Amino acid sequence: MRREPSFRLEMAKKKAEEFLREEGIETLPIDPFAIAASRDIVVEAKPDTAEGVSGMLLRHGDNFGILYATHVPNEGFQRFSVAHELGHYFLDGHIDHILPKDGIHASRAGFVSADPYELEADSFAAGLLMPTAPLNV
Amino acid sequence: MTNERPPSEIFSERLKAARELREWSQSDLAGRAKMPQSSIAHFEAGSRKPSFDTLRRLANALEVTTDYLLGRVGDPVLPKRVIHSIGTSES
Repeated sequence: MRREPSFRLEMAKKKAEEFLREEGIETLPIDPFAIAASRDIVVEAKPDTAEGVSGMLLRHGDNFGILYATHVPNEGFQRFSVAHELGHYFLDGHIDHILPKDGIHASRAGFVSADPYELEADSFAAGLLMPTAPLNV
Repeated sequence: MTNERPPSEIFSERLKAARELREWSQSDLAGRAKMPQSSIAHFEAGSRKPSFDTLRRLANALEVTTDYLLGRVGDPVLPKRVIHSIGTSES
């Protein structure tokens, strides 16, 4: 039985907030680059040339990397792109979404995606960068 | 590619195999991977799918590769690499 999509998205957001709690991250702004570094995920800016892809999660054996696009010169956009890829890394079950493509996953911003995995990664990114607790002061 | 089983399904079998290879109980593994024993039980039963983060934590605790836990290689540990070989059969 499939769960309601809205429930899954809420859970993805909660997972991000739970992660911040577990890591003791309580102050804004949240740094997705530091979170990636804490898991030995190498994060690098992607050369400007290829437009359309806003972020990529790469896996090679036990090593992981994230590439983020810079063709949109906006820090918020880039932070969200990295946080979205972290969603694919931290969310349960996303291995079934990423691995069949042989360990390389590309996310395209600006597309309205109906893919539940992509929507979950977006919700995770929102919960990670805009968690309820620190904003609720 | 068409009839391939989802990676999470293979993972649940390999996790159990690797744990038994080490002769650990579920709670032994839970302690080493710093997660609740119930999580290990769910992963092995296939009722919970792992994230890449948990996959890596479990592989580290078991001292096996993530590729082994995903069923991509038969050997649980990394092969010894040939760093560089000179004058071998290539020529």
